[in-house]
Amino acid sequence: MQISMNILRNRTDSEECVNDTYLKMWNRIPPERPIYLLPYAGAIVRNVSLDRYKYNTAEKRNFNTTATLSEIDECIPEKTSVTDAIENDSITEAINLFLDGLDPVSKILFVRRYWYFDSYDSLAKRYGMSAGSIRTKLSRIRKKLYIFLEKRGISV
Amino acid sequence: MRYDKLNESIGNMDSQYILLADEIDSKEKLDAYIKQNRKNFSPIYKMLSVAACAVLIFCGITLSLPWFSSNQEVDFLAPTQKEDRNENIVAEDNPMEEDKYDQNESLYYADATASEVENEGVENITQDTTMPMEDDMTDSVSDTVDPPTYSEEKEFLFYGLKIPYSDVYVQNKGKYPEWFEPYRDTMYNTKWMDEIVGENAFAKYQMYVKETYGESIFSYEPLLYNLILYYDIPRETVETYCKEFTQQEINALYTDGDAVNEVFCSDCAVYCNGYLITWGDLAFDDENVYKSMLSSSSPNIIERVYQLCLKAENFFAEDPLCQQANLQLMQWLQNQ
Repeated sequence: MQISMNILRNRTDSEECVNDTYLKMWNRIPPERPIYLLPYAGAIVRNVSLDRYKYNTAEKRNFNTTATLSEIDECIPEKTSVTDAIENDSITEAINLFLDGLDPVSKILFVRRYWYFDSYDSLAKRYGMSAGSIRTKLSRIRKKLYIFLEKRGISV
Repeated sequence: MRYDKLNESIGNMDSQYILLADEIDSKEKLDAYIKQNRKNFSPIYKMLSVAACAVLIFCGITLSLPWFSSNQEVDFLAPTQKEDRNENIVAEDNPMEEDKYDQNESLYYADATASEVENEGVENITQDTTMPMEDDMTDSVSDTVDPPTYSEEKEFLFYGLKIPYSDVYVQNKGKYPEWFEPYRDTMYNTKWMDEIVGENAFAKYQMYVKETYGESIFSYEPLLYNLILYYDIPRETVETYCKEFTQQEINALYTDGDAVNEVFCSDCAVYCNGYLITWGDLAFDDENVYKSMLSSSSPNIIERVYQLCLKAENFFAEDPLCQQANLQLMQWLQNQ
């Protein structure tokens, strides 16, 4: 519910998304058998909420989600004539590798911000840091990720 | 949109990170995780510990041999050999004294190894096994200045900043101890942080950035700002170690945000509501972030950011997306 709320900032929409998520899980399990339920359910609710967000943003914009998605946008180099588009699996693999090399704080902040869509303020409150410090840290992580992906020839 | 693809990939990231971020939901847990991670972090440290343990056993056997032999009723040695041995013991009195430190060091590593072995596989390992490094640090610093007290997190970040280790650095004749290397490699940007304390720190930083990134916007990030914001460095640390900064500059950093702009950010960055806006940020961040941040700012700050956008225009020309964002921000600023 919190992930959906972070993305949509609307309780009614979020509740609908969570219900959709339960339905999808009901239909998928079995045959799918996720090892961990939280990431599995989280990924579904994230996708459902983002779809709803795209639908909603025809009329209005959610500042936090827009800002978060724009931040993600900056991390991936644009495709050039030299590089080839890489399949999503490869990008996921690269992201896992990137996360593996991050220090503990950066790792947690990255996942909380870009997977859970937490706002800067909630991150600051949760981890007892200043919002400015978190902004700076995440800004550096994004630049790092950009360089990391670029070095691996990943572009879109 | 480009982010669709990356966002989808982030959505599929390994479950371990998602579970981890879910589990670490407070400052206390984050501190504990940092502590644990630091301990389990370095394979080199573990290898060193194992090696030190082996050395300790070897030294223990070697050193106890003369004592053991001299206290035995049965004399295993021929008379001449015994004399030689006694002579050697006398002659090696001083070297043995000198070796004391090494032995202690070995003991110390061996202790850590034993603890690590005992705790292997246990998630919540106690602090003891990490303390040796911290003890080393404290010992090194205590002869010079009393370091400020830090929380666990800051202490860790303190490693990245390298201030206490500058003493370690000096005592190791210009070379960091091997066990410190993994920390240097994993802390973001520690390479330049190695250089920031001491004489000509800012010039060294600029040189490092230039070598690393070339002539890019990154070279305009004001040094001390970023350090203080990024690491929440206490004022007393800056006062103790960053001698090249004047009292006026330090006062500005810790008391008055606008004064920071006057002192440090003449034309390359703007300090606003606890956040430093640099050219680099303007290039990468969504303009909405700044609209929100600047909506309650003074005209002076607005003007400064506008000037920053103007200066950044040339750089943004290389990237249409950034250029567009910059233009939109400039238009918004003009209307304020």
